[in-house]
Parts: sequence; C-alpha cells; structure tokens
Amino acid sequence: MSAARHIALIVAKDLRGELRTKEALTSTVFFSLLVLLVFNFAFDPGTRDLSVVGAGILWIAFLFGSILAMNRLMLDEREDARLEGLMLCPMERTSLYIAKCLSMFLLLSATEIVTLVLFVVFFNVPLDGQFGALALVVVLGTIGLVALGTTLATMSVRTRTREVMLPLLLIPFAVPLLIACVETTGSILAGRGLAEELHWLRLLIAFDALFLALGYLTFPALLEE
Amino acid sequence: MSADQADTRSSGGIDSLGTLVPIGFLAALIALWAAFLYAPTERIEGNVQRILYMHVPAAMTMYVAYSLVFLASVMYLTRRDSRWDELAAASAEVGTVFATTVLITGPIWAKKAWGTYWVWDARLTTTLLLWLIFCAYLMLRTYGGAGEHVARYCAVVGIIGFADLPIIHYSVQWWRTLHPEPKVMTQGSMGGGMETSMFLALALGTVAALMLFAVLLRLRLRLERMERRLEVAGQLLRSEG
Repeated sequence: MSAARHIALIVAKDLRGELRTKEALTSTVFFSLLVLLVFNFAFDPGTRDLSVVGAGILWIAFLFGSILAMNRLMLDEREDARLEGLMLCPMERTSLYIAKCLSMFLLLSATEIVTLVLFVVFFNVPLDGQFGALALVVVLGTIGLVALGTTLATMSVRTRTREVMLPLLLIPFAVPLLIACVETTGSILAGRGLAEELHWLRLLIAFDALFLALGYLTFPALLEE
Repeated sequence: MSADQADTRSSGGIDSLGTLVPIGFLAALIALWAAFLYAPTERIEGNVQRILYMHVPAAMTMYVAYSLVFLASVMYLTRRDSRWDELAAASAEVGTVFATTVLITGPIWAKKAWGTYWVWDARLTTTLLLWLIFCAYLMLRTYGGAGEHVARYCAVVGIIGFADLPIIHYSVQWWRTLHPEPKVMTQGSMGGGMETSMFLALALGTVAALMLFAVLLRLRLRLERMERRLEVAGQLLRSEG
C-alpha cells in the first residue's frame, strides 16, 4: 500500500471514531463558545474597536479550542493501546504524522467554522466580501497550530502529567502565530484587507513550513518504544 | 554503561572543575573591577548603566547555552548516547538561570534609563518567549515522568525551540512597529559608538559570564549523572529485593 493510502485510512478511522462519539467536536465547539462569551463579558467589545479586540478574542478562542481538541484526539489513542496498534502497522511513522495532522486539521476546521459563525453573530462582525481573506488566514493559522500541536500533543499525553503539558508547551511556541493571525484578522475586520499584511502572511507560511518539516522529521523519534 | 565508566567520567568532571574554578574566580574578580572601577560612569544614565556589564554578558551566555541545548538535542536524536541528553538537560537549566538574570537586570536598568520597567520591544519580547519555551522544556523534563522517552521528547522540544527563534524574532519586530516607538532604544547605536574602556569591561564581563557558565554546567552535569546512577542503583536494588 502507498503512503497516501495509509494516510487516507488513518484519517478515515479518526473521523469515523469522532463522528460516532462527537466528543471532541461538541466539547471544543462548546468551549470556544464559552471563550467568546467570557471575553465578551470581560472586555465588552461593543464599546471598543472590534478590529482590535475582536481579532484577539477570535484567535484566543481558536487557540484554546485547539488545545482541547488535540488533547482529546491524542488521549483517545492512548486507550486500549490504540497507538501501539497503529505503530505495529507496516507503514512509515511519518505517514502517521501526516495523517494525524490531517485529522486534526479537519476536526479543528469544523469547530472553527461554527466558532466563526457564532463570532459573526455575537459580535455583529461586518464581513462583506472579506470572507476569502479571512478563510485564508484561518487556514494558514490552523495548519500552523496543527503542525506544532500534533508534535507536542503526541508527547504531552504520554508524560506523567498528561494533558496538562500541552498548553504549557504549545502557547509559548504559538505566540508568533498568534501575533500574525491577530494582526491579519484585525486588518480584515477593519476593512483594510490583506494588501498591507503580506509580510504577516509570509511569516505564517514560514511558520507552517518550519513546523511541518520539523514535525515530519522528528515524529518517528517520538514514537519509539 | 558500567559503573567503572561512570566513575572515570565523573572524576574527569572534577578534574576540569579544579582548573576552571580558580581561573573563573579570577575572571569574575577582574570583570567586577572593570565594571565598577575601570569603566567610566556614563554621562547621562550614571552608575546604573554599569548593569550593562552583567546584562549583556548574561544575554550572550544565554544564547550560547541554548545553542548548546540545540546541538546536544540533535546529537542525542541521531546518536542516542545519553551523555548528549545529560548535556542538553544541564545546559538548558543553566541557560535558564542566565536568561532569568537577563530578564531581572533588564527591567532594573530600563526603569532608570527608559523610565519604565518593561517595554514590548522586539528584543525583550524575544528573550521573554525564549525563556518561556525553555521553562516549558524544564517542566517537561521535571514532570514528564521517568523513562527514556522523556529524553527524546525533550530533544525534540530543544530543537524546535531553537529553530523557532528567527520566526519569533521577525514576528515581535513587525508587531512592535505597529505600536508607538519605545522612548529610548539606543542599544543599536551603542555597539558602534561605545567607549573603548566600556567595550573592554563588557568583553571581560562576557569572559567571566562564560566561565561561570562552564563551571555551573560542569556541576550540573555531575549532579545529573549522579542522579541517573542513583536511579539505576535503585532499580537494581528493587529488582533484587
């Protein structure tokens, strides 16, 4: 079997499992909703410039939600020695990394779409004709979170403190991504588009490429037993 | 690893400490003399500027230490020799001591020179993020649990933590430019127009800081090896009992 087939099989397995329980989806969407609301009460964005506060709130919701989702997905693999089972499969460990990244990406994208809708509704966001630009930023940001998070979640769930370790590791690493995403999203919300934010897009692409490459190269070392 | 090998290794550490400590002590004395007596008092900032002779050497040592973590991590993942893991662990910890020194001396100086403890300037933010990443690294080591897998995880974090540096650098630099400029940031022009005696004091301070790093690294390495041998001994005892 080719690597692409292996990846497709694992992604299909992950999605099937998730669609049966909907655990990660429901909890992440609900958690993101709570983050949006908590920040709404804390900052009262109605009285402030949405492009400044709103972009930050949206990305905090995405970041915190992604931590929850990635922990969920990786902790699942610990049960019934599922990860060991996957490691026994005759395939490259790097295929497992790509497959996990893809599953996470699809799962996170689904939760982010719901969060985005809630954001637009609650914060009364004007998004006329800017949807493409926002989608681009969200996709680039999510790839970065997933590339980094897959590596870090794989290790954190197998430490003694389990899921506690992931946010401690992920957040410091994710700061450049957070800055880039908030800056670009803020510009979109202010109606300025992305024309002046191309350097941030380049930085996001560099971030994604760097952590995909490093994750791909180091993943086999994480899985040895 | 046999007990004999471990013995020769740790005694090797003691021997080199025996020469490092007196030379380092001398270097520290000279650096202190240079910082407080030899270097002239800065015209505008006054005596508080002398913190430079500790602040900048600590920053340089921090980068040396974290580079060493990166190299040792790469070596550990490719060679799987636990000595590289020991080196990475020791260097990360000592490096974080120097990073903390940078983050403590910086605001003290800044309060006097810039009128504020903290500005979200690119260099400060980069140092802070690097410090956070390596704090997380140390937490992973401490709370990770026992086992060789934690050494591999730490090696991966050590590698991606250092590789992240250019991205952090550009992100915080661009982020800053959208905000009001910090009141004073003459660091950039300072290197060029620095008084020769000041530069000399800075160089001596850097030598002393690097010597201190070498001594602390040696001590920390010895401790790390003792801990590991103790753990192995404990396991043997339990399996026999």
